[in-house]
Amino acid sequence: MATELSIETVVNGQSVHATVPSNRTLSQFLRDDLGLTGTKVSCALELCGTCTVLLDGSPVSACTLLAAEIDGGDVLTVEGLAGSDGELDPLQRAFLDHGAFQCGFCTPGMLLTAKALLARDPDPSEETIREELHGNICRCTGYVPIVEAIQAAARELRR
Amino acid sequence: MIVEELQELRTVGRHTVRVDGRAKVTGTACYGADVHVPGALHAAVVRSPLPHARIRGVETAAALASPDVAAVLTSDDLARVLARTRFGPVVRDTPVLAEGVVRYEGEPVAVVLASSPEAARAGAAAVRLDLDPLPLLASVEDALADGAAPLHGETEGGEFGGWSGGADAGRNVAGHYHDLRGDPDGALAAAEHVLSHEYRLAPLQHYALENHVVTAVPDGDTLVVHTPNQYPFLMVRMLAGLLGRPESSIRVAVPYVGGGFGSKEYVNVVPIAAAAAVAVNRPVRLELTVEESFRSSGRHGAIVRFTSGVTNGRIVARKIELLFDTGAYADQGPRVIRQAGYRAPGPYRIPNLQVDAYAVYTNKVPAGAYRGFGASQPIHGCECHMDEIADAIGMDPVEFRRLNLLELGDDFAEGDLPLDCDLPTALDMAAERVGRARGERLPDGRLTGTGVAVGVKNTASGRLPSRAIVRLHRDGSATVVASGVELGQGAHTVLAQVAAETLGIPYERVRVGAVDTSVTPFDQRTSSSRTTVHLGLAVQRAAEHVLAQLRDVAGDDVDPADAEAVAAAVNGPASGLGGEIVGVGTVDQDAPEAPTAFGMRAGYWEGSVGAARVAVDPRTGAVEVLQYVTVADAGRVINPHGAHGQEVGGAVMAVGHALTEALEFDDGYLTNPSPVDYRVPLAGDVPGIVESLFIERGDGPGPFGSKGLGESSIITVAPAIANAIAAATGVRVRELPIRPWALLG
Ligand code: FES
Ligand code: FES
Repeated sequence: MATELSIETVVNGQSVHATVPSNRTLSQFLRDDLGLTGTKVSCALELCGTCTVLLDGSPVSACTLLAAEIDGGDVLTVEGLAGSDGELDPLQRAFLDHGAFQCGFCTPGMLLTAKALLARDPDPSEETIREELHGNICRCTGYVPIVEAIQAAARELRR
Repeated sequence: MIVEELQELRTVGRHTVRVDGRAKVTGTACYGADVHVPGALHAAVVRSPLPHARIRGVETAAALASPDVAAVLTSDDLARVLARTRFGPVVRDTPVLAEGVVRYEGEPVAVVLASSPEAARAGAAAVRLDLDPLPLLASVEDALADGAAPLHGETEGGEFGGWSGGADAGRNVAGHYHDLRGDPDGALAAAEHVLSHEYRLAPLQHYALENHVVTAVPDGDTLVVHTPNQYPFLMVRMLAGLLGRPESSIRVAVPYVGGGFGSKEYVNVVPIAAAAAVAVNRPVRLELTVEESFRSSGRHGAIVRFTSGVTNGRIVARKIELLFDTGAYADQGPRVIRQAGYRAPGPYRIPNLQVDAYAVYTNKVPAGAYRGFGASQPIHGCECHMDEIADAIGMDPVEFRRLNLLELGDDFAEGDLPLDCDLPTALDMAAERVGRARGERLPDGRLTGTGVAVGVKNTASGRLPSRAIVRLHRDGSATVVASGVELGQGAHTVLAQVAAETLGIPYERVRVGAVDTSVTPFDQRTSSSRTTVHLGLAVQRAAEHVLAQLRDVAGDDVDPADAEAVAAAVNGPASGLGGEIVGVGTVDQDAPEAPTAFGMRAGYWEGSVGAARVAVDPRTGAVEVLQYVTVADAGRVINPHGAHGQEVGGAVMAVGHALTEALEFDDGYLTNPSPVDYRVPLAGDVPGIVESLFIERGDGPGPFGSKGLGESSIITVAPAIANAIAAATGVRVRELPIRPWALLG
């Protein structure tokens, strides 16, 4: 039987105190306990990047990371990208303008991977973007419009 | 890009933000796994560890000992609640849970229902199967060998009126398509050159990111099923048959779909969850893992054989044999091979022809529909064969194709719709973009080559009815009520554009409701590049119906975008419109039988032309696709992002089919059911240049002269790449995927 652990964390700017079983994954915690279903799960094996969220600004796989491991950390999910007034993040805007998704299942993970990249490197080359996306699979778009959207968002953010 | 003077439109042909866009970038879009039904039991499937065995017993006591496990159900338990226990689109051969025999590794044998997914999986692991191995049909050669034991006895046919012509269960043949035109043997004997080639294509996985998921909820005498599925109304029909209930008592609600590509059709998840929910009279949720999704469906592996006779550069005869490995159950296999057989000759003038295509049962995961539906395998063979012939007779491959290619208005087969896509123009466009390279050395020592491929698929053949409702509200906004499933292809956006354009109101004022078979009207299915054309026409007609009613009340000059005028009309005394205007549009496609071996007339022809430029490292065999160009005759593009997205997305998907993707079976065992070993294209694998070009002449049968897209690019990618590799290296690999080691001397 898994032991229960108490965690304190910030999710999308809100502080959260919770008690979770030690074997609960971050994706289960976000989706089932907090109702933040924007984070999607596909492989559950830390291979496809679908479940990517940011922990203290770095991309992590919510499907295998344990909820207990975010204790003391700051988590950003797709629900936290837009402003509280509904104003979209420049990346979200660029994804809309460039047709950077179809089914949308990879989109939350793509957006967060890109968010971390642009925070680190405001002017990434196409090659850097492709390398950064290596761990995020998209089966629909062929990646081309995703790379374009990230470049456009980077331009927008530099202005 | 070729665009003939088309009238400018307000919404159609312009960039619009997708109607599902905001929901998808903010994480609020609801997918199957996000459907939450309180109190639902979680299901886990007990699967056969052996590819072929007799079931001697299913030991459930250990699983039932857990307080979290509510039930363990086997086929005997389901038989008590089901009117019939087998289903299948063409042949009713697939048991919901295995009955006495398992025919592939991973076949569902029992289902465990528990209070949490973890408890259900633990329960499934505790169920013990007592199995007696049976002889294995590991390949089509095994299955067709003299004396091979039949995998199936006689089975009931045609759940959905599907075609199962030529089936011979005694020989493990689930379907056989045959066509004979002219005298191919005589013509071959008289031909100047006769060339024969055999190509092998590995079986493939769709690998949609979203795994299969169903929540089935008994609600009084109705069963509500939430599931991402491309065929909601066929699911209703199937479940009504399985459960012995009227179709009105089954409601299939389709959330956003996280990728389909043909996988979300008849997969055995909906029947299991639905039967289990009815058996225990509680909501049941079944969500597969990625490994289970790999063991649920796939694209047919195939052996394709082409023999052609050529005289003076013209094809005088062709004989084709296609062997498709359909796996343990027929699924869509018989329909897939019929399409494959019909499309196999390629878009060429061939006076003497014989085609035989077989769907063959083996002990593997059942293969079914896959984007392109039977076109990809034969067209790969056809287009590699075309290059090999050109080489042998000393002709340029593009010239050889041009000499034999069907043109706009030519007959693909006598009695079918004449070809309504312009392949010669598309071929010229594609070939010109990539240029011509044949083994030239790059400064880094790699060899370059270019290759082209051409294909065509008869699309939306037969009677595929669609119906749609458009509601114009009193404030001048509108809702489209239709059963087009949003798989990511942009169906909802296109339908909104068609409604806005026809009504003459701004696109932003149109919403598209979710698919729910108890609310949205009948649509045959979301498949075969038909939604824009058929459902789009139905929406256009529904919008026209709205306009006619509005004009009846408010006069011909009324502006539907004028909210006050609309409000006055719908609320005016005795207007008869009752608060809103409801328009209905129907497409009952006029598809007369065609006197071809295929039997049905095409709705339209979806052409596919691709050209590739590759670089191959002669030391390692590593292939890089430097440039890929795909050209489609789109009639008229309704949504530019959507159309390019389909073309480019399909092309990149097929780069995987060409170079890296293969389901590996070892004596019936699938050895690579995960994205680690089944290698789909990653961001770094995408060709440096991917271009999608359109021919637009406004001559399609859909709204505003549109045609369907979605499957066109994917069909010709692998042969164009294979031909480019052969041009670069001089090595012809007759297997897909093309692995680096196959290119090393
Ligand atoms: S779902 Fe977490 S990496 Fe695939
Ligand atoms: S948009 Fe479907 S997987 Fe990326």
